Amino acid sequence: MANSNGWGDGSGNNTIGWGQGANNAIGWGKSHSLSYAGLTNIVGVTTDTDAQAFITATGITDATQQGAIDALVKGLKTDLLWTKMLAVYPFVGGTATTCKYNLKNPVNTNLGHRLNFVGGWTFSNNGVTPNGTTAYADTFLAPLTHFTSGNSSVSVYSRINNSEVGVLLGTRGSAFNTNLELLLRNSTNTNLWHNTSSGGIIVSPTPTTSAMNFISSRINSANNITAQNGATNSQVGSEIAFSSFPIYISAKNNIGVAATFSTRQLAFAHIGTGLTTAECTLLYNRIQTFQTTLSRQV
Amino acid sequence: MIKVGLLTEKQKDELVGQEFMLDVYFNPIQDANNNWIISIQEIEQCNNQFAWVKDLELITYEPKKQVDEK
Repeated sequence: MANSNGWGDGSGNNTIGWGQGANNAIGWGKSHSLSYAGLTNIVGVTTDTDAQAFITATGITDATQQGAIDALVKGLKTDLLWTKMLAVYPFVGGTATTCKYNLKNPVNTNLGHRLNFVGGWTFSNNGVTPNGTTAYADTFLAPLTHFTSGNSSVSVYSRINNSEVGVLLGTRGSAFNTNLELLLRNSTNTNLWHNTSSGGIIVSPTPTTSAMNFISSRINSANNITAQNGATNSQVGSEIAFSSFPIYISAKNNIGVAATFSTRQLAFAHIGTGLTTAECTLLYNRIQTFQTTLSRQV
Repeated sequence: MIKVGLLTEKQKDELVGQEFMLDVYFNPIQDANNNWIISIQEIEQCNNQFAWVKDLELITYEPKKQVDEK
């Protein structure tokens, strides 16, 4: 024994008995149930099962990205928004493969609403960037099949502030009163058609930037809720009909042909059932936290 | 000024729906003069199976006028 406490002696020879396991007074090293020091369990952070399914499908290995996805899913569930989502595209991981999966149902099928990227795209950790000439993503999700009257929502998170006529998300069936089209800051206005026809609505207040999270929601057939970075408004705008063609991202599916291509980099998109004004704000807060964790917020 | 690759009709047919990089597919479109074209991104990112697109003549992109009744 080299010192009074016996530190440094062999484990069997010191008075505290560290390392002895079953033979020391505290019982360190014994099984959890037998150790006097083991009264409190040390429990690791558990990844949400839906988040884990997405992480596994995409093959994302970056710990920050994994944590951001996990927190997003848990947050959406806490806010009771998860069940209102039909498709969620977090655009994380920096490749077409990691960005194509639907967080709600991360299977590699059209029925799972996995995106089909077509044309010229650039993928990075900041999101997905279409080229504005040939690029769009097919969601395989048609309003006529999945929406019900007065009960639908869509959103995008654009990282680019510019003025263009490119559609961020849209579809139009054979009749123009089925239009679902999200335009942010064309030359004069921000126009929105949410299952409606000519005119749609001119979004108010007029956005001062197109770099934002924009949500459009219907919880009835007479009004259109909009949210710009969580700040909500409700405007009169009648819902008329649904497009039978799948929604495209970064362009409009114009009766089966992609048109009005956008150049804006996107870092999130969703399609879901109707959200109240309060739920739009909650959704924005979760999306913004997600973007901030990934250091790509606007 | 945006440059794009000029395709013949036959070349367009060869590319439609083909995967040019993992999980991304060609999308030949027609410009204002009804030329079939693909974007620079598709040319630059395509895999060796379609290496011939890197030799396409580059022309200035003239978008079709959007006719969109609302």
